[in-house]
Amino acid sequence: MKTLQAQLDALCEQARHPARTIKAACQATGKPAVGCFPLFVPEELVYAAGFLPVGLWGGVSAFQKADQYVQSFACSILRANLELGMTGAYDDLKAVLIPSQCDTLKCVCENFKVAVPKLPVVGITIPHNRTIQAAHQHLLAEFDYISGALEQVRTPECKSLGFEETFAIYEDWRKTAREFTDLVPDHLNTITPKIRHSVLKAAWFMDKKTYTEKLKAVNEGLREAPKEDFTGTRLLLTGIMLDAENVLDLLEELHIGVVDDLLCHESLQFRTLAREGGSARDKIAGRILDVKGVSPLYEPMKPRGDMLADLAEQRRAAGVLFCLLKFCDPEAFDQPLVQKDLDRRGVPMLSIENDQLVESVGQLRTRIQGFLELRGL
Amino acid sequence: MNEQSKRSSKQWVNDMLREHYRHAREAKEAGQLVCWSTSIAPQELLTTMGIVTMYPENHAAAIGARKDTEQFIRHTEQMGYSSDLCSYARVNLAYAQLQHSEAENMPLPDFLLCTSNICHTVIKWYENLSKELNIPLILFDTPFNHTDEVQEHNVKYMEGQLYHIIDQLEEITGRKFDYDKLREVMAISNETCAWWKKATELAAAKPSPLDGFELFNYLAIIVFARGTEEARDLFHLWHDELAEKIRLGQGPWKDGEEQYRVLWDGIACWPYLRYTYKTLKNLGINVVTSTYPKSWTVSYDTGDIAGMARAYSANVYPNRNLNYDVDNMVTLTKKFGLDGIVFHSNRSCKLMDFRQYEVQRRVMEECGVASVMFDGDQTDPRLFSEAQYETRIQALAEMMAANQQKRRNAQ
Repeated sequence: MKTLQAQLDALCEQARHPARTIKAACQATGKPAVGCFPLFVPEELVYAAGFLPVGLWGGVSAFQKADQYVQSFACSILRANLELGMTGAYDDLKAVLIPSQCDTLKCVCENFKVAVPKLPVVGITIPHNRTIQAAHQHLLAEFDYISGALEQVRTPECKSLGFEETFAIYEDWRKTAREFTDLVPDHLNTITPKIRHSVLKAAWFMDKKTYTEKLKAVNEGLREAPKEDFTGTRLLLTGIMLDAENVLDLLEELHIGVVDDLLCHESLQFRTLAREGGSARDKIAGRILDVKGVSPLYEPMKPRGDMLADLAEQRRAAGVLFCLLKFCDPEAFDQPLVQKDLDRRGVPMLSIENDQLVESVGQLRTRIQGFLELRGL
Repeated sequence: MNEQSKRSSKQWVNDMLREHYRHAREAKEAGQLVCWSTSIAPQELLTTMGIVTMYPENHAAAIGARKDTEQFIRHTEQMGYSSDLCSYARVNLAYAQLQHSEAENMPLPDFLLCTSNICHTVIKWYENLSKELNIPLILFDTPFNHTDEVQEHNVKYMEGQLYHIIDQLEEITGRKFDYDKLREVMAISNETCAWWKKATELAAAKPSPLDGFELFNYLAIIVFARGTEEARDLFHLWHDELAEKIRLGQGPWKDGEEQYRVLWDGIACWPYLRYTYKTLKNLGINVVTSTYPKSWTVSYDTGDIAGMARAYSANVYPNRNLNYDVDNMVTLTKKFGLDGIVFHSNRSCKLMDFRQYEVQRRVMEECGVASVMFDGDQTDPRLFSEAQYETRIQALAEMMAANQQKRRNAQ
């Protein structure tokens, strides 16, 4: 049996090499892959149709081809996806699913159809008015549309699975991921910010069933290991994503432990509990309708600040790092009000504007150090 | 002849605008409910309920045209907002706190109506207003149309929302919704849109009777008064004035000839309205149409709620896919006999911007029309360069002159 460290290393390695990981997963399962753009795509539909759903969350910082389609003030994740599509990185995918959860996603979806003509694009709509019955009905009809579109690109290797069985696989993953995030705060020396991020990131490129087994082994290792004394600063992260390795390294260097997150790329994918009752399709819809703390989705009275304050209390976090993705409008609208709510609740917050890849962390180091000193953290 | 019929439509527009703001302030003082709404919203429901409705986009544009935006932009930056955000939103979020502008003043709202057909940004902007002012927000969500047509399940979802909005309005006002009145308002709105369309399409005549930038003044009226008989009659008058100019062979200007006809893509640069206009006019360039006007031609069968839902999704070009954008612009290029297109890469509006490159390529390929793109912003004066704009417009004029010469040579 592998040691905990070896299990963590293996998952981190999978996260570090998405293309290799996806290729291996396709070979192991015999499934072709379908790409899922941010932020929330009903992955279960892809899995049930016999594909391997994989997350497409950018990954390059130099743009040459994408600039033929979008101005430089588009968010770096979506510019990167366009660039990667145009340079052939997604050639092995059978299709991509692009939800219209912000204005840039709407446009990039349209451009992608032209810029990457080889790849079928399924534009999908997730309702914003999520509390009314019409939204639930809409989402179920949208599921039919998505399933119909996936049917068009199915290959003989695709072995479909029932929604109930698929949902169970995904619920198992979500439960296991929640357990992992519950265990992390007691093991902050072992689970550094980068390791925590990488472990969760690997889920985007692996078959969920396989990934869940590996994560269960990690959780088992963490449960068996003694709780650790962590003398650094316990922080929460919030935002769309924080993927820049050098920023994650900087957090470790500054002796910061990430005790939890409200990041779209990480815990917001599995944090929401499924509704009781109804079919698997109803539950898949229910989770999307119920997810909270996500800036691109409509949220009356914006609960995110209070959610963070509650989470800070629960995790004994000393403060919040708001990872503001450059040119992300939904995040930029949320940030001042989250700051206000956290001020009201007495939770220190620092906003750091970041792109996917940050060239130099010199200034950031000074800002974070200043924040920690000023707040006595 | 009564007072009204003596007025030109231009004077009438100014009177209506003044009255719109004055009436709203008085109504608020008298205790009536005031709503703030996005610009292409189902006003029919609000008009039926007799709710005084103000339009922050109109207001921010007026503040921009009055060159009064800087105090608001500074204030939102002090509130912690990024300067990368939509400047209408930034101006309005600050106005909600400062509550005074040299341009016009509108009363604070008691509730909000946000329709997402123009962009996703308004959802976030209105959420923030709702939270900061602690007032209800009604959302009409119109899913983006990736497909060429509006899908049926999207129509059902929107129809469901319209009935839900009616419930919300009944709750907020404590009054019953009058469906007979709604039919009347829908009928008037249809007529207003029809006259708006007829009038703006008269600019297809050569020379155009319309001095294109005037369109932006009339635009303010279609935004706030679409469901009223007064707006219907105003656009009817405007139509008749333009038709008379065509009959007399009059072009857009008394002091110059229309040499080139262009389309303006996107919102105006309000703080530089005069400068952008003069630069065009000095070169004989007239803006005869825009991608904008059609968005307010929201037409449906009277009493058909599902049809109304569909219209609010289908008619607004930012809510349609790339094929629609291209077809729309190709149609306008042919219909209005355009020589060129001016693309405003508007820092505030990502939804309009991030398809412009491809639209430009495809329209040029299909129509051979000249075009330029310049960087600007609808209300943030810091994001516009006079030198860049002038150079681009000069380049456009040169391209259009060369094209005209080619056509003459070919004849």
